[in-house]
Amino acid sequence: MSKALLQQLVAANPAALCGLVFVAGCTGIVGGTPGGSGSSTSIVGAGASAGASASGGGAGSAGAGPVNPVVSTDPNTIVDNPPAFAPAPGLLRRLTRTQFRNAMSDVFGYAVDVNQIDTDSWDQNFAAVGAAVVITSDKGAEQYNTAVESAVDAVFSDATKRSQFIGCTPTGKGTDACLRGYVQKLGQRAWRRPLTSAELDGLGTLAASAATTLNSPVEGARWATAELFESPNFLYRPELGAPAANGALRFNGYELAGRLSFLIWNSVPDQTLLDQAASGALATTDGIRTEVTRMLATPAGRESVGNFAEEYMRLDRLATQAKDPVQFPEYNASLQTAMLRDVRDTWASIVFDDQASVMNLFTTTKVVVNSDLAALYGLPTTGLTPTTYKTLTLAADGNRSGLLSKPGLLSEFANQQAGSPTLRGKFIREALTCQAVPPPPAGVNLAAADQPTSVPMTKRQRLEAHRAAPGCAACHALMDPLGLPLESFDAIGKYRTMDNGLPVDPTSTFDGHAIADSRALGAAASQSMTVAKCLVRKYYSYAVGYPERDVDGSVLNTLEATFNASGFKMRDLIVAVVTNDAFSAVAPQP
Amino acid sequence: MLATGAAVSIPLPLLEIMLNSNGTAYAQTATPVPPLFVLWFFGNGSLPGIWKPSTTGAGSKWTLSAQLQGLSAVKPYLTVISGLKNELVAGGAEHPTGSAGATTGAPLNGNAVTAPSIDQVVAKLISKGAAFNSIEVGVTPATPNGPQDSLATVSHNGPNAKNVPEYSPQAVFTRLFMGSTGTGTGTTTDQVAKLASVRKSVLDSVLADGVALQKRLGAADKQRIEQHLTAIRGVENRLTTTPANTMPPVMCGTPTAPTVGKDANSEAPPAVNTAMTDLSMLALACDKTRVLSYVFSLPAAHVYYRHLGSNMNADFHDTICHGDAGDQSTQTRVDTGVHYVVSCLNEFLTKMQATSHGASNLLDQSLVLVTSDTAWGKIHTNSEWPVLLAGKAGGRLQGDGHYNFPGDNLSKALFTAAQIMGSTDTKFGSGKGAVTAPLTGIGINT
Repeated sequence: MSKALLQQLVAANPAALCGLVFVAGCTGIVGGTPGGSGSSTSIVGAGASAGASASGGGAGSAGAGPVNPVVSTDPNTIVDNPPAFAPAPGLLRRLTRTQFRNAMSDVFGYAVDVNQIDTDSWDQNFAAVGAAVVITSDKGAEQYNTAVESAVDAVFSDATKRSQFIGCTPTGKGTDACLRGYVQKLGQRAWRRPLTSAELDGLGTLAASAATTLNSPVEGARWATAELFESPNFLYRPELGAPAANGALRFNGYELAGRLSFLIWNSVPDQTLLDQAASGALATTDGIRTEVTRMLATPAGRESVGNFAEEYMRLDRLATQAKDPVQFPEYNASLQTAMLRDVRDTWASIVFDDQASVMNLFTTTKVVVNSDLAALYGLPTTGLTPTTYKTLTLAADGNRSGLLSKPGLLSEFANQQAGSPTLRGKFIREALTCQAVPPPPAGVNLAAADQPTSVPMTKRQRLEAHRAAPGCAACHALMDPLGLPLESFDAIGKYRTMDNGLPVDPTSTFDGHAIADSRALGAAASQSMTVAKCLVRKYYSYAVGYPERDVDGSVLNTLEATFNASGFKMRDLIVAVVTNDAFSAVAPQP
Repeated sequence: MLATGAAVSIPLPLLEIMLNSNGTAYAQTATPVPPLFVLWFFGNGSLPGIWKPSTTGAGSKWTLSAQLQGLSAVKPYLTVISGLKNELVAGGAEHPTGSAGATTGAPLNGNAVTAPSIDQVVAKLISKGAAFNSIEVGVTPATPNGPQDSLATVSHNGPNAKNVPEYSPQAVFTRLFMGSTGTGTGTTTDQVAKLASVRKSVLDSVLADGVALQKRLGAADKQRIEQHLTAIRGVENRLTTTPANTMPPVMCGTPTAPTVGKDANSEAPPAVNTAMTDLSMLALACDKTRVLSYVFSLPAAHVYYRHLGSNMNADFHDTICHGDAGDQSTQTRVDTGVHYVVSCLNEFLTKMQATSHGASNLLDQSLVLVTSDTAWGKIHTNSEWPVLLAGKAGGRLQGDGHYNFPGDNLSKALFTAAQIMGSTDTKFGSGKGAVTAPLTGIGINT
């Protein structure tokens, strides 16, 4: 782009000139890589990498010259000498949509559509954290009841399933031992604790009354079952603690069983875990380690990584995204589902199948596809259908590698017609490096880059014009360089070489180093200590259910060291998190 | 459920026969009939230069502006409020803070609103006895997908308590008219009544569980459970006050289930607006609810009005509002979009006028508050906020006027609406949205 054209663009669009307030807003703490554990790895720091003027090819960089590497860091940056750990108050977390779905599936074999369940709160960007503050709407309460009745019916409308499920023959009487035993066992799984005898009496009375009214002992069991899962005792997780032997407040065995179960399986506990709670085994670190090791080895253990990935990568966005139906006729519900699953399952596969460094995610050629997604990747669809999935491998010398070139991520940070380097870069900056990007200043024309021009321009060229406005440059330099290599992919993540009739220029910088394209971006991310440390912080918050605090600093430093020493094995990180005292200690609720 | 062909249970509409001779109170109890309330919201603002009428006053003293021309059929019912300023708009987060300011009169705290929205304030005043405390419907789910709750909906019970709109017309119909279904629904009146009684006993037990749980919790979590239990009591109330299949299907009793699906392409199609408007009329006229929020489009909606012409096939928020050349009177494509919004609002208001309610019609008997999340979307201005009151609120509002309040606090419009609906509070809003006086001189009958 010529300098004259650039000046013309800016002149025609004074609103794009970001004011001084913007510069002030963007001049935060200079981010450095957190101190501490870097000894056993070649991974390099990637903190303040804002010096992104690179624009190779013929695009030129007139007016968008080098920018001071100022990074406003997350206020909760880990420090070398953090204050002593202090437990956080007990939480009352509501089951997330996926936890509710998984529980209905595990208990009743019934598939709930999560979009028919009350929305999660994304406070702190994790549903698992927002769960501690979210409040159920009127419609949400109805939706729970409807979903539970349907799930219970999936078992009770089938005589064979029903009789296996109950395990004995109810009599419909108030003193029915069969019913009481059934409710006792199922209730303990649903409520993650033994039911009190008063609660058992109440459910017995409820069942007997329903059996009489509907003239069927089995109907009594049906409605007692519905009660167990419509109850706040199922839908909410009171984790409040009890005094331990030394007097300190600690989660009791059943509360810990619930915490482990929803973290590792993202669902309700099994009988073995409940037995461990009852025996007192979870009162010790060794007991927790034994149990979490068993849980991680089960198929459901993959949820500990898969669901984390779903929340961390904000894949919930996919379900609400439309795409231009003419431009992308292949974009349908099956493709959306596959996009989500590809990201989720690739994370889990790296961790559980390969048992490799999770940093390999950024360079992996592994993809999990159905027929729709295989077509998008340009892979053969032989043997695949919209509902049949396979794990396949992309060509090692192909156009993509790693998480950042997966269609799920590329599509969710795009509008209906085009990808957004700014949104993609902002996500990478904030989620993967734990660095905050300040909001744009008041009154700025946010779409200056979309000004119609007399000559065709690529998105990159238009963004460069935008960044030429003095106040806009600093913060865009935090986002755009991380997204520009992904310009090789369109609004649904298909590979492309042309943008608006002009060649795509995917060159950029990462941590001050020139990178050639998205593959190089992935390679750089896989070597970034900043990314690795950020992952520890994110997983910790996801696991404990509250946003990171200053007093978590020492715990995070310990976890980072463990993660680093393990060669970035996520299973080791998970075990380290749940065996840390921070996972078991609790303070009273205010 | 619809596929099963189960009979639909419909409550009686509010007929004249149920009212006193003036149509102002229930005949049997002499309880005043409260006006109904609608929050009608659209995203991305207007073009203030051609939204605002050129003259003020009532009746013939004012004429409709260019962007409000589409409402000429209901001009006698309009009270246009101009000049207001949303003091809560915060730089860098203009849409979410603008949305929170325009609906709650209070600032955001992180991603959460800090106060209930105006529809929920009103629901506390008038919803007792209605089947639903409030109903939230939406035409297009198009969204910027930001983290703030005030981008996901305009109806809030308070912090972290979103009432998210339902975008599927069939789902709205099912919720309103098919009862709290689930499974095992019987086919005879006797079976249905028995099932309702069993469901009630289940819910009683759920409520008892909740009360026991509350005793273990701190104040904030106790309140969270309380809101859940309130919702359960609502479900229970609907089970016992509208037993399925027992009401004779008169007038309200033959609604047709909508066939149009939800807007899958984020383009706010006319057919969905029609379906949601029709469902809203049924919900209000049949006393299913007295409070409704109608989200034509969400704050900062990334909507594509491609059905309005090939030149409109672009992101309305990103490309058209922010990107198009022109000032606050001349952005042509923005004007096309706002005209479409107003035509959809006109469909809503004219159908209210055509729907009997009590002694007159829904528009006579309701207050409709129309607003948005920004004034001029291009640069997120916060003055000349779009505010329109429609309806006569059961005679409490005269209508047919335009009143200008240059620089006055937008929260005053919310406070005024609350007072029209019966609030006796002496203040509204908080922070920069706190006000202690309503708007005066806008044709309110006392």
